[in-house]
Amino acid sequence: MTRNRRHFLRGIGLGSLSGLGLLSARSIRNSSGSTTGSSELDDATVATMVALAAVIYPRTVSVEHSFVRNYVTVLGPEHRTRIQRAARELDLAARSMMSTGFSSLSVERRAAVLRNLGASSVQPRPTGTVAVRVRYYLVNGLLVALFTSPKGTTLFGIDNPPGYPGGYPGQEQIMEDH
Amino acid sequence: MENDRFADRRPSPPADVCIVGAGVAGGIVANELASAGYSVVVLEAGERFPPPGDRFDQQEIALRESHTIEDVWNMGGQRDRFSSSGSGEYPLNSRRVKGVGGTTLHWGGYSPRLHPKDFEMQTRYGIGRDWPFSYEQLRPYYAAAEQELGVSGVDDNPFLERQEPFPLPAFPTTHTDSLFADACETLGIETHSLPQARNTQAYEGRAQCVGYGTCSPVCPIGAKYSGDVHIRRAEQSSARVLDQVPVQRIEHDRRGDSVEAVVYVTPAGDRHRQEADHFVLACGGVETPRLLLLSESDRYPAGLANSSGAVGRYFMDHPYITAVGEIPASGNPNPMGYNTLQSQAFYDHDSAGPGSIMLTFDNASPVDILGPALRGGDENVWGDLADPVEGDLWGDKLVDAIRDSNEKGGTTVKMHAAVEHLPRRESSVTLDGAKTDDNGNPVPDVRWELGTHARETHETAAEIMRDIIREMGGTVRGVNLADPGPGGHHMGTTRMGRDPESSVVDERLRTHDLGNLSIVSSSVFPTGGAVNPTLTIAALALRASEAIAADL
Repeated sequence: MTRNRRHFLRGIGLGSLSGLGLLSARSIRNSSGSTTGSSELDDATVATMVALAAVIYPRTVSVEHSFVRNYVTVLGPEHRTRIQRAARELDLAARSMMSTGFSSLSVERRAAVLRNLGASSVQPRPTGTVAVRVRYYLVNGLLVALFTSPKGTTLFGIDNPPGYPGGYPGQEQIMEDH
Repeated sequence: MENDRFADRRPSPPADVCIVGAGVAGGIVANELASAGYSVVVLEAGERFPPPGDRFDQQEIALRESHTIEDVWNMGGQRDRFSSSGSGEYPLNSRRVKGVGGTTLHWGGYSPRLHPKDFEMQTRYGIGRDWPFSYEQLRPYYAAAEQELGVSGVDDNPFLERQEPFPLPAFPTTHTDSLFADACETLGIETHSLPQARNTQAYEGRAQCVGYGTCSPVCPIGAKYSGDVHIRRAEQSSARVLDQVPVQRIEHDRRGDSVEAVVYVTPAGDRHRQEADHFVLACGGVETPRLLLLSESDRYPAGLANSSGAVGRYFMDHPYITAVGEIPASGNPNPMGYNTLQSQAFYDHDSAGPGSIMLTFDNASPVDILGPALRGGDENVWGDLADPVEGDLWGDKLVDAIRDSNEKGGTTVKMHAAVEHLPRRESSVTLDGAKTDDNGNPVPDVRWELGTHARETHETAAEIMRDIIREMGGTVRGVNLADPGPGGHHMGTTRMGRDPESSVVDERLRTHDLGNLSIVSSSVFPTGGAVNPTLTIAALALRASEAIAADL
């Protein structure tokens, strides 16, 4: 099951709620299934992030482009812009160190780029050096995407982590009874 | 419209009512009066945030432990500077939010009522102070407030009789709750459900809870009530709400009997005056007394409406202690964002001490995955400091590290006890003239002084919690008696009373000193009981709105 935040926005029934002005224009556009436009990341960023996920995710977890795109769907435009900037800088770092773009490198070489950049030993921060921002927006962004989804947390026996709209315990009973 | 620095923030023509503060109190008053046809202007210091359904940026910040709760709603910085010169450091900016919706943007949602004894502390026990009206007089407003906020609950509290049904069904109690409840039953402690302003079902056009579990500090879809619900309703009735316009000063007429205008500043730095027939201060238990103190004049040298000297004094906030234990049983299979079980078995008391205790039982998460993941496998911040040498972990090694960091003998359980905090003059909000905010105003100095009554009640609560954990077959890991945390319930600083010499407002929440100035906030509570204050704030807001409308 690929439930995620975007799935929720579709699932709650746009027809019933949007008329009450509950959803912002951004959410409505995202829920319409559009895959282009300013609510999305550019392809180069997605490719870099998918390549990065292969380094930082456990080997049992496979990453599709749609997983990355879905994660950023509900984030604001400023956050998306900063993700794209950090991805460009990671790619530039790879070219500088290894003469090849990040997503074209082997997994081991991608890990080496991260280490050499210092991303594995800094604190994540939304502003500052390339290393702290790669850690914050890309590495930790991907970890947030993974571990706010059963895709990542079922590894630890959790199927409804914080950040995931998996319903509340006893919800079906409440809906039946009332 | 969101966070628009260039919106028109010039004043309205003189309004019927000007409200300072767009939280739950200001929102309810604005809605009551605007929908009755009065012209209403609301002035809010903080910003207007994205609407429910669109708060995933806030959730993202909340999920990341490199941020603090203050970052979620943009608290801190020059605007929010404060001092804390008492015997303990008071963490003010993690216990309040400025913005449309106010502190209910980040609250947990719990909505219990005070008990009758809380209104009669002086009469019954010779301590604290009486309210100028009884629980019975506030009861119909409690019921109406539960409808306004959308409180989910069931009538199972044996310690507080109620006549009115809840508007929403209660959240079901959980597996962990049953472990606590069984042990409590053996000990003769009755447990019951925890009323909360969180939608078990869609309610009045607002989304049903779908289990995001980030409730405090943010529900991204608005299934948890926040004060902007009433602000939006007020706007639909043509109330005008300005954000990012911190009120600097309240100006009175020459005789000092009535308020003429409030002065506010826009993001561009322009100062404006808003006139009105009636003014309502609804900026919470810290900023409300602060604004009165900042509005001193020749007629009111100790602060506006402060003939009593009580403005800023008798500051109360419920001190919470938490008991942590390990039990040899499994708890809830999944994390949750809210609690569902409480006990008020120790709330009412015959003698003056120990005081009231409200126990809540935590739906503690069985495992923390995201925390160690974002720390690169480090169990805590000490591991983080070694990173420049050792480096962080990802991939399969990260999975092992997350498992290790959650490794423990049994299941961790937690219980919380909120206890009553008696009003004391030395516990206060005053001005710190040596420190100023981004508009040059002296900042609030918060002194949170507990006193022996609260500390004795804590000792009793700790014993009870230890007994419960042991009855569960567990071992007690600790109770933080030395370091209780404030609930963020800012009460008492412009208290109600019949006597103008010792209180700031009367039972209509009208200041004794100025006939057209009301205060709607937990700052008017003469006592605070041991319950979260928001439902009482909402009830008072409904009651005060009637009194204001009667005068317009």
